[in-house]
Amino acid sequence: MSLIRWNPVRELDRLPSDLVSVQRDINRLFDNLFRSGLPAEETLAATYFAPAVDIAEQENEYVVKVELPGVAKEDVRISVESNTLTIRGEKKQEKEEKNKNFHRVERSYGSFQRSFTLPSTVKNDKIDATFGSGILTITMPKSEEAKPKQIEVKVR
Amino acid sequence: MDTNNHNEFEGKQTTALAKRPEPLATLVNPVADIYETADNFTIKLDMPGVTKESVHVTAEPGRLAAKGEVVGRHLEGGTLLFSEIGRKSYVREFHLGEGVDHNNIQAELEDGVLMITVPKIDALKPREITVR
Repeated sequence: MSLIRWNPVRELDRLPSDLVSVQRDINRLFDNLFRSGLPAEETLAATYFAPAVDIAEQENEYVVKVELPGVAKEDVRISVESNTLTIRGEKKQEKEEKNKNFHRVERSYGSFQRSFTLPSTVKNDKIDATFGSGILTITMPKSEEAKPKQIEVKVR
Repeated sequence: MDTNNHNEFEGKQTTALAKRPEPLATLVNPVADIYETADNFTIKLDMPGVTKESVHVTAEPGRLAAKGEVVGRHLEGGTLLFSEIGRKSYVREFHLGEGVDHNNIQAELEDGVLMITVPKIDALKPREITVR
């Protein structure tokens, strides 16, 4: 286990996603309040959402699952930069749907982004991602030095 | 304690953990978009993780139900470091009005989105009236 500098902003990622999205909504509202020019309606129309994520540590790899129902493979970007895994993209509403007579809209559309700090020891070039049934699965193999090792301690 | 014994102990511990009963899946109501066209009502439900085999749509007069099981454990083994998805299954019911044809409801599943098309009965469809 390596030491990681505490970053208070990162704590926000540990909150339930509902809370994070509420916080983002509030931030956006404030942004819009103090922004001149564009009408409020138009700025609010471009929404953000945070998809739900599970992360598991296995013996040889880390596995990340992201719920992205209805998102096209082409609209997802995964990047790893200085040990920060970022999943971003856009969920587009089908064009012909926009003029429909909607009775209910509960699903989220717009841009999404989640970032996670990886333990420093992941094979960056061996990261693999698959997409099926609306779930994005990212597999990140641990580098050799990160795998569990048994250390014998001699008691004198 | 020598290393061999230690390994054996570790092995047993892993088996014991694996046999622990799985936590029950949480029942969630999937979010839905509902829109209306001239001929149909369309319901779109976000159900990530379900397959065609694990999803069931049932219709009867006045009632439409969609159920789905997430197939396979979300994450096999290991330690869960961060969990927002967990184990879950989906269920949602809708009330059907009198103007729909519950015998001809169609459903398709694509990328974790279940799309249910509920046709209107002819009496409810808009009609072009010829002007004489």
